[in-house]
Amino acid sequence: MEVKPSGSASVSVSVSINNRGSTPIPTPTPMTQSPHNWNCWRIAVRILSARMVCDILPSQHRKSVTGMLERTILRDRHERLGARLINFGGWELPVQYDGILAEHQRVRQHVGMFDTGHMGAFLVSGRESLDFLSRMLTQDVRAMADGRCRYGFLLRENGGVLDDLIVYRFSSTAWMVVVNAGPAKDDLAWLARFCPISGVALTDLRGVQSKLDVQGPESRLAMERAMGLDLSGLGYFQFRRTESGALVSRTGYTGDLGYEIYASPQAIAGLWDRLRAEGVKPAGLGARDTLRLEAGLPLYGHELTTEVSPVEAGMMRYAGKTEPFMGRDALRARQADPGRPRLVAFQIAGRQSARQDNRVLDTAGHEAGRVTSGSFSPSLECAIGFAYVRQEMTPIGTELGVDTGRQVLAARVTTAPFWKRASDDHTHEKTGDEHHGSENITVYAGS
Amino acid sequence: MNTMDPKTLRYTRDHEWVALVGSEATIGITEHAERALGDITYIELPKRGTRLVAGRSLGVVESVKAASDILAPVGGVVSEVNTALVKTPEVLNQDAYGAGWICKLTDVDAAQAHALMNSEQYAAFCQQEP
Repeated sequence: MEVKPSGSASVSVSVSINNRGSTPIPTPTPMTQSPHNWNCWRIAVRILSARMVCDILPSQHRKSVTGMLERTILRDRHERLGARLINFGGWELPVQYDGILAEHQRVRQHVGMFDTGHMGAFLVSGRESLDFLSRMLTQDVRAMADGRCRYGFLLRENGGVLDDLIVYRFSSTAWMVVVNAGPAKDDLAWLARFCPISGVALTDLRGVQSKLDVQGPESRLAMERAMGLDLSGLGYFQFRRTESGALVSRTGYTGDLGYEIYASPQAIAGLWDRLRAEGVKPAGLGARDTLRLEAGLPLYGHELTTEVSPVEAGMMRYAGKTEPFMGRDALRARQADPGRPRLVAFQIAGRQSARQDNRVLDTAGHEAGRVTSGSFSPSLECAIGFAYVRQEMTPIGTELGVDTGRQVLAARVTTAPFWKRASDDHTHEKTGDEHHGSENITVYAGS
Repeated sequence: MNTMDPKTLRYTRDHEWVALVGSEATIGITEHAERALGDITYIELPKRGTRLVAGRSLGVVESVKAASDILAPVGGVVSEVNTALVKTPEVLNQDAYGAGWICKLTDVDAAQAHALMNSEQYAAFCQQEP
């Protein structure tokens, strides 16, 4: 059945790299996974037939140095709540508690919380840190104010997406970079490789800091009650330190109001318990994925890989600054290349889903691309997804066929986000740092 | 349709059940399967009149995050299909041995059904699964 890893708790490894000290700069580790070789995690394995048609959530099968799955501070709480725990990129995390649909709808309509303690975070500090991040990231970090965060990318020289991330500005000499769990070590090695000998310190915050997300239209109320805060003044893509030292950012991945909280593992566990006492129920990775997909947000490992750049992903608004940065010249060359595929959002009239790696066909039946994400949408009650297709097939309304291996589903290119909240008041406090749709795609950091 | 008594059913290693009465059979998926799949959102059913071959796919069941073939536990001719599942596939989660039946067959080879696991053997099989 579902993957049920066993073994004792393993400890996530926290590495501090300070280039001003004597710690050697690690050499970058090569990417060992093909972007199309995510050995998807299995929510249900070999159920009903030996031939699993497909399943769709991402994983990079990475284990800790002890060979055990890594665990967040909340792992035992998940187990006590009856969660179905799975291997998600080497981490033992809950895919669901009482059902993906119920958890999805609860977050859509009320509030839910997610254990995101597996995600990576680095502190970048020192007098040269602003110049360093400006060279390494696609974000225009010079234009950011203290207390703001911004979405963007870490690119390779060829423009391929090493990771998508959110950078938090504490001051011009202190920043936090929040990245996906899978590539976190590669990200850190990549940053270290180009880090100046002096003036910048890179510190891996994993192990000393954990993370919890509270998402949904009632998330502010829940957060204020559980943390004793007034969050009414916290704008979209802004963050704040609390008196206890936690960091709260108004960010999320559902297309609605939401917060992400960074604190010590013990503080995160305490907050989880207080939120539970306030009636906030947890949601798992399954609901997290359907929510982000409905919100039209590409996901690392699916829509974003080292094989594609922000050009193909339709996300150049997050990589368009004039100042030079890693990968910029390659992006310009890619923009001029009509042969590169483009990301589109598509909708299927029925409930049957496209799945990752399904072939996309044009109306003549010729292969035109590949699906990167596909799922049943609980809010729309039909199937939705993302695919990379030939450039001439990107206009809204273009008819596509999705070959599931058994049949060809009729799909149509549509706009993203797929789901929009009835009122748009959660973004009424425009900060200039928030993310929005780009072409017909909206983006945000993923797993 | 009344809910089947799971003790009277026969089971495949792929988590389908079959209820045999004479040369007629009713087919479904087990509670073990529907629990593992999670919230079921779609089912592709066979057409009436189709001749099924044991072990071959008769349709597909999808949950939010996974899709699986349903394999025919026995051979036979599809005589009736539970079309209500098309609009309410969640019934498969709610009543796998009753309202969640998938199709009925005639012209069934009873020996094939008797060769499948009984409820005790199936329970033991599920215990062994990883």
